[in-house]
Amino acid sequence: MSGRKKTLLKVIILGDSGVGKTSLMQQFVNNKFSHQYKATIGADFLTKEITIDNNKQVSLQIWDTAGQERFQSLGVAFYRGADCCVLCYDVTNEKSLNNLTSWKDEFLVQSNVTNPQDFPFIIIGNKIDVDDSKKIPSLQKKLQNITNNQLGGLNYPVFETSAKEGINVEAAFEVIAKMALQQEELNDANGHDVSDDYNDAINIHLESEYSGCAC
Amino acid sequence: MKIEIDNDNDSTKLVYSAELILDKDSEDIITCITCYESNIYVGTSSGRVLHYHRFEDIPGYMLIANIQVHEDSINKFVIIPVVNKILILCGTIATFYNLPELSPTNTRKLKEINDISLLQYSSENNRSSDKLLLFTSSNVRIVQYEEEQEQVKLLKQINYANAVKGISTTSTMSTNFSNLVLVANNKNYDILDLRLTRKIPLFEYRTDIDTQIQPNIIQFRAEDKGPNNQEYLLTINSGDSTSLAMFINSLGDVTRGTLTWSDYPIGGLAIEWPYLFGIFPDNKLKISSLVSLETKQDIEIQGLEQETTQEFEMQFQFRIERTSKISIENSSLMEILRSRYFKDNTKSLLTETIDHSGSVIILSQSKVWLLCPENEILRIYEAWQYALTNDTDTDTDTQSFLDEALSIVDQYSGHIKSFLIHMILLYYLKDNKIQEATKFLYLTIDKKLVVDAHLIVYLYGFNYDDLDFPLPFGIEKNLSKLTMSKNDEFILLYLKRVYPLLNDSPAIRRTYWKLINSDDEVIEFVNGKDKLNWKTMDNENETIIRILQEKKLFKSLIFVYQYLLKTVPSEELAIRLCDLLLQLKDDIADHNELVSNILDNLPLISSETSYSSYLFEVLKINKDKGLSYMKSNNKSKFKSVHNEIMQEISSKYGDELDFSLLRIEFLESSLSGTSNSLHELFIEVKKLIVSPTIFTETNKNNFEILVQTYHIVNSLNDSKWPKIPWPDYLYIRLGTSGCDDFIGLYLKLLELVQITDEFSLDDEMLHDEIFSYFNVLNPLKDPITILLQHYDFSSAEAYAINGQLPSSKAAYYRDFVSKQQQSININVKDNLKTILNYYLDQTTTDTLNNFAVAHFISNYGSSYFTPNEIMEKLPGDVPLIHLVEYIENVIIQLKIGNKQNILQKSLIRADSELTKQIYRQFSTQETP
Repeated sequence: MSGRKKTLLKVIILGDSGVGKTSLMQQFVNNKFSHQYKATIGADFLTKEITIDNNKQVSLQIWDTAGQERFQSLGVAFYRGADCCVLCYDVTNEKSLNNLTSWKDEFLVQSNVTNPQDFPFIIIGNKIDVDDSKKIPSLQKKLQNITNNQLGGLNYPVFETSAKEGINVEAAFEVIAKMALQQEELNDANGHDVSDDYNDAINIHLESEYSGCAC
Repeated sequence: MKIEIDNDNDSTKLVYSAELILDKDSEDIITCITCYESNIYVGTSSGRVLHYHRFEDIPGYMLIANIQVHEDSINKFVIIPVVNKILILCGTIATFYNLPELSPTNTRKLKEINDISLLQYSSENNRSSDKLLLFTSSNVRIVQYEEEQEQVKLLKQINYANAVKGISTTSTMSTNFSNLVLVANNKNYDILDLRLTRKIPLFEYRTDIDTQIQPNIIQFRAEDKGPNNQEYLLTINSGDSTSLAMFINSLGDVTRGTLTWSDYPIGGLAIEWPYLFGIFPDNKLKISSLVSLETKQDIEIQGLEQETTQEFEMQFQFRIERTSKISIENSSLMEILRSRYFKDNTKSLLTETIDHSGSVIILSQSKVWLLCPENEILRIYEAWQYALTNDTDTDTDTQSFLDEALSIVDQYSGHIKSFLIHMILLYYLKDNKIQEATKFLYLTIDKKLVVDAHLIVYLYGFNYDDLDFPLPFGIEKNLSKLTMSKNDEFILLYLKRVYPLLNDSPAIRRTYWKLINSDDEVIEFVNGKDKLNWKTMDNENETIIRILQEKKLFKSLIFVYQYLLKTVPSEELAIRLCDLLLQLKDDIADHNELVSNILDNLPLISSETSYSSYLFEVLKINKDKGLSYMKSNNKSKFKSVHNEIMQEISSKYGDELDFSLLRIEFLESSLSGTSNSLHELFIEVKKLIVSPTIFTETNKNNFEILVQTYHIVNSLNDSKWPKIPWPDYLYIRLGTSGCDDFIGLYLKLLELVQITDEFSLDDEMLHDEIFSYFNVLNPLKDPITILLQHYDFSSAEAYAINGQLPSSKAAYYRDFVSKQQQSININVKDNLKTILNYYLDQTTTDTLNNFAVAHFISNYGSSYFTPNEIMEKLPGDVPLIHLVEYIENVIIQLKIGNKQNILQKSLIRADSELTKQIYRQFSTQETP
């Protein structure tokens, strides 16, 4: 979307309800953590200015979307123009891990990105601060299985974080920023969005033009 | 109804008030509304259009037309300003009418229309359009209204099924500009690209197609993202009890997070940046911030009339929508700003009409309310009122009032600025923060004080019946809360500074004078700022004079009187000044100045009583100046007054020597030479000389000593001649006599008796031995004898020869002496014989020392007597030594006589001889 500033990098955080998407965003942007869970309705975003690679300043617009299925129809609006997608799961919730694939697919379908194979994804396993006993058994194996098989064998970066303790959050988002920037630069290099702002438009059959009143 | 919203950025609140602007009386329901210039058009469920207009001279909107345009409910108005047309959608039929009067046009009706929108050319170009978007069940049409032909031309038609609502938007995309339409069909929101004829699907707005959910597409300017940044709010019913608002730009990109509600806004939405107003089921009004996305208010609409429709027997649902700006008179603000005279409330000063405006309206069945942001002046006014009754040091609310008022005061002008300044200033003054108040206290606009000085003096306790001034009502009704501590020093300083700006205000001037406490200040004020007010003697100046009297600023009072007398001289003022000066004479050090002041103003006084009174007092203080004045003004009309003064002095102060002498002096000074004046003086002198103050034993004794001394000095045993006359002796003894006053009067009286011939045998005074000398003027007595008895021998001798007394050195009234009648029939020889006899009588015992006889015969013997007569008179034992001079004179006289005889004889002989010779000569000539 060439209509936006190049330094504004849009990042979408996806994942099942309750995996900690909002907490990750709040921890990264505001260094805050709330113990009280409140399901996100619709979507919201926060913006943070960060410096990466050789003092390059970028503005990360991090969209926190609703994990609930009923809001997924809105995804098309939120996903459009994303530069990076964060797939988030809960290290204590195996189902959320298993759903990463569907979140990726949903994103690719609704966002209509031009280079789905190359689009940058990052995987974050959140809540590592909980007891190991509560974590998914054989997590690494299962994760590797998912990344190799279900996510197309692509080597997506994986971070294990704790939004509560602030563990690895900064590092994860630094990588996210770098990846988003690369994607942005790649889009520019490929000349995407130069002739059109809508890559999901549907052509409409045009009625013959009238020269007089047709009412 | 008031709606308070917490601001996102600070602790302040934004307050809206719902002002009723329209109230229709018919039973049909308001369905839509639009504005055009000063007109409001209201559509109803029965197909009527109510046309309201706001005239300039009335505060609100007036119904001027009620037009039945259709049988069906009116769903929408679309104003086409570029051609002055309005398109009215009734049911699915749209009809053109002329603006503003709604007269019909010849344009054909548009049918099967679900919604209409003006086509927008460019988001950056607000040029009005004559093109319309018509949303129908099967397509979206772009049409153009052709004004000349009064017809609608179809420009483009795009297939799009079930469009129920849409708005035109534009977007500058990567390479080209394109017209876009945000449209809602029966389930989805989509973007239609009119140029490229394509659809960009957005999202569903309802999950259940059976629900009666109406889509909302609200365009607004996102002011947090720069100018002309248009965004769109789209509402979504996402499920059982949740709804969302999505925000997108014209490209369909989401621009901000979602707003979520538990209900769907069935009453509509309106945005007044940065707040979104929505009416939800059960008439809940929810207000959300578009910046923080927080719900700011969730309230039930209260205070607005709840209505039920008879038709549906259900509670009426309020609706909310945004229109173009509507202005109504801000009656609340005008009420507090309207100035009226503080006391005479009938003298009201109308301010210009002040409107407040809004763009968000709430509609009920028959009424329309305008949501007006609370005027900040009203808000500050409320805070000010609160601050007046609360502790300003500890209350943060009061401080915030001040901060806000100070921050905006310079943004306003006219009545509002003046009102703000009043509030700030009075707030400061209430807390006695004079330093802070200074800036506003002296603030002027067009050389006129913003805050009336009358108000300031009133607040500080100076109130008068005529103290009236215009004051904004909002200030006036709070004056009772302002109890200022008395601070005369401050008020005086204030008035000193502002006085030149005030036009002749009696109340201010009075206050100024009340505050002045020193004579120096008075003088400075009168000579300076108050100068022009002392050109007349009016009631106001009378009041000020009373103030000075009450303050006992007498020096000031004298100064003021003097100042007034210079400009408006009057008898009354002169009298007041003289009264005051005399009242203060004991306190006035410089009596010369006091006397001069009185005398300077005496000519203004016509009242003889006052005149004589003041002059009399002046004479008491400084008789020289008083007399000088009387002398120089003795020919004035007050001459008689002057005399009366003297008489009064004589009668009242007869026992006061000074005044008695003063009376004499005055009479002397006013002598005209007439017998009356001399007589008056004579009487006065005579009266005084025998008065107890003069005719004292001391004076009498001292005088007797003088007499005795004189006798010694003039003793005939003394050979020195001439002897000094008695009056001259007295005269030279003035200053050493011990009875100078008496002597002075004695000499004057003597002289006056002499001049006026006033010697009276009946005058008992003259019978006193002390005045026995006066018998010299007694016509019944021989003056020579009297003079001799009083040892005044020279005078006796002079009188004997001249028949009158000699001129005295003590001649006080020399100018009138010439009028004295001289004695004419005198017998010098007899007079001299009397004297000689006296001398001879006095020397019988001691002839050796008979110098008087020697003197007499030497001086008069040969002139008036024959030697035989002298010889006969002289006793035989007179020493020859005393006769030598006389005899020599006699011999000389005899010789002279003898020589004369011889010479006469010779001359006679010579004459005879000469006559004979002449005779002979004539005889010879006759006989040739």
